[in-house]
Amino acid sequence: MQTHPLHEQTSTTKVAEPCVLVIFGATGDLTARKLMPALYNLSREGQLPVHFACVAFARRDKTHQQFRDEMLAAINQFSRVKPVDKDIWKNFSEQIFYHRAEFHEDDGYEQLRERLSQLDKLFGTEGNRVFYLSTQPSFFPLIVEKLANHRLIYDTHKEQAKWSRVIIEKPFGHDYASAQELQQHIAAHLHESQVYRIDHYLGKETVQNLLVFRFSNSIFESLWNNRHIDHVQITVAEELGIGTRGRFWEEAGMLRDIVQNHMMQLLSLVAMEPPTNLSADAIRDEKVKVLHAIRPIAAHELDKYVCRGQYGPGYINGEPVKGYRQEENVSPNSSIETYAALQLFIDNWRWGGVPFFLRAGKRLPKRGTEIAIAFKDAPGLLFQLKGKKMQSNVLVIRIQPDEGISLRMNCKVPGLASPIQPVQMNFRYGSYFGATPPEAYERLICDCMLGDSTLFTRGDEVLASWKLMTPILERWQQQPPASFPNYAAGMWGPEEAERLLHNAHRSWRLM
Amino acid sequence: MDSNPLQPCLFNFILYAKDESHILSLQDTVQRVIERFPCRILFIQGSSVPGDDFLNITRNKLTSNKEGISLCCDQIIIAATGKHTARVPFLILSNLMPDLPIYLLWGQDPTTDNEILPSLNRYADRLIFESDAVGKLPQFATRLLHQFNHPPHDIVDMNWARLCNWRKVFSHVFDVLPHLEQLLLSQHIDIIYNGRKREFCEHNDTQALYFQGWLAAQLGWTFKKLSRKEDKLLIVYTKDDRDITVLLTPQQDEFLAPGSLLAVEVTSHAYHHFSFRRLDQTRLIRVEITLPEMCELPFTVPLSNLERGLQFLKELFYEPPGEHYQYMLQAISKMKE
Repeated sequence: MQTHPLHEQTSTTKVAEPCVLVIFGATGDLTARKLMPALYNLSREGQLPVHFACVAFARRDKTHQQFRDEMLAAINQFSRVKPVDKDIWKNFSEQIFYHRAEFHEDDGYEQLRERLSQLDKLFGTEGNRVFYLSTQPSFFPLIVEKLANHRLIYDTHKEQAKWSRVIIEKPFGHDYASAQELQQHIAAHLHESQVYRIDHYLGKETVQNLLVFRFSNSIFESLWNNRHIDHVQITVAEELGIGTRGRFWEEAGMLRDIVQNHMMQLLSLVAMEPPTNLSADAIRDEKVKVLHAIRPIAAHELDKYVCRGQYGPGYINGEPVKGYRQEENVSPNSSIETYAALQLFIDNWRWGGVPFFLRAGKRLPKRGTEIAIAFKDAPGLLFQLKGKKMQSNVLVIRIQPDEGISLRMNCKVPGLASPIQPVQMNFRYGSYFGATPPEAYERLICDCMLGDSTLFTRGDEVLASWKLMTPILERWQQQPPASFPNYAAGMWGPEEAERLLHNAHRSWRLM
Repeated sequence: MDSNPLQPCLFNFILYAKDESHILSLQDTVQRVIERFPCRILFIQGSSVPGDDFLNITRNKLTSNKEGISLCCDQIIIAATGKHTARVPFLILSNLMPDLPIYLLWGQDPTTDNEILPSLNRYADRLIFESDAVGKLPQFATRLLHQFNHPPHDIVDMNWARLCNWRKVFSHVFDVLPHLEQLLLSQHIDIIYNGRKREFCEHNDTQALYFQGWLAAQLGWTFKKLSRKEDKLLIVYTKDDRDITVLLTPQQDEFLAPGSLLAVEVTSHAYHHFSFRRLDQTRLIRVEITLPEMCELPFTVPLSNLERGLQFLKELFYEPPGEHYQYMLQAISKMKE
């Protein structure tokens, strides 16, 4: 295709093609908190295509204006940049429409097709479509099938002049079998290149920086292996409880909600081999290789390498909080985990023998997501004092909050004696670049419109991580926990998690 | 000099200006930079007063607290004129922070005022020119085209950076094939720009000239002739045996920066009319498209990024130099009255 004469595709400017974005389940929480603020900020920054429209597809009865007013209130509350600029909003809101319909009714899809046709004429969107399924996962197969039946999504083999893409939110199934079934349903109507599975962690600047950090700095690549690295810790800590999501949490648990997706994405980015190029498939191929190289945990070793926890009453920031079983819509005998910790091994040449410790928990003392690369101790006894070991070097990549990277190293304390003091070399995103970075959803929606799937999860990635997690979930289902709750809110998790590392002669980082 | 200097962490930013009004203008640029990027500023200030002969060096810390983020930069001002000017490169070299990029903003006309430019530009990773300070734009364009290869540098032009929003809007609107086809059949283009002058400016039509030069380069027009009538400039191009006329007209606007584009109107040979007009005191452009048989619904497009000049600064420091700028310079270099 001939390049447009006015487009200059440099590395920092990308031009999304005209399109309509249809959000299914648009009256839900995600649209208000994330999607609409993201679209508004994209519009504000001139990143939305000029020829663009957004259609909210939902069941409740509303007019266009009512929906727009609700979205204005949501953006005022949740946008990363406030206050809402009234000129920008006026312009943007004129591109938003509400389409009332039921997910299972054919009429709704026929009317949607007509509406989209009209919008193509009004806004010049050229038939390009993005369908965002912001609904319960149980609706995904139905909606995809209806979209296909009503020719709202196109066969990529037959249609070259326009495109259609579908964005799906996690969870992608709740175990290996259901993920496989969902995958088959989707594949019956969509080519993999049309499917964009969102894991919003991949949209974070700091997660994207992982690849840049690893592969544009030669110094680290030579150390990034089992000769120099002792172990890796990946932590996703939240101080919040489950809030009003009791019903959801009773079906999910920490392993499904965080470990299977976000943490496995972080692990694969940390552990992957350099891709041959920066195409979406080249990067995702390497991530999948990592997942396939992770040693499955044998059933008889589950207790040795995995532990779970559930928070009881405790204190967060000095304030008393209730335990999980006292939360709304949670069974008083619930055996659902709000904490999970695992020890994994990646059986390949780079990582053989290096344990990867993952922990994720709710109601921990503070919020933070980080990857800590703990290096091996320096050889020899040169600087040991009275048998006390020096602190080993630790490279910490802080995903959130206080985004940045720090390196702990040892330095001599000035003076005649030679005591050694660990110090930190610190890079902080916020201080260095002084701008509010785009939210993850802004980047991800923009990338989908651009047709760049690098930051989205591929089908085989999803299945590979479910394959690892499903045996753990099945075992936990068969054997209810002996002693829940087993950690107080405000502590760093249960004793079992401490023992997990103690048995491996290591200890958890105190964040 | 203090032997224990402050530690910036992103880049060294060297600026040069001679005229007092231009020094003031670049101080505004410095302010924008320190709000976003912790860096070391080395500001070389000359003097246009004949007979001035001095060397003064001052150091200070510049702090900014914006959106809850505190930044600290250090600034070294080297005021040098007369015989002391030759010492400036030595002073600069000894005060650069190692291992950080060096950006050099040359705020005067490099075709006429370049005594120390050669000494400095070989260390710079990126050269930034203020084309508003340039006397003759075609000569400047020729000089820059030469600069691209000797030695190889990133080259950025502030007026090209100022135009990034308009270029983006234009390319977005003409993103659909029917519109693009009409643009390729352009017959006449009106560009209205802010005629309000800046003191140090030789002229204030640079952005307008760049914009039409960009269109000419990208759409394959050949320069034919240029003429002035009062304060308007008429440029005629040809393509495929048809003429394309471009009229640049100044208009006073107290709100927008001098030289900013206010409106662009494109009329094609098939009498399709595209109007882009900046709405008063907003960052919106109103687009109206009129076809012979109907009018499309007008719409507005935001100019990207409302944060104070962040997009502009990204253009200055991070945008890789693109081919469009070089092609535009080639078009400008051919424009002779």
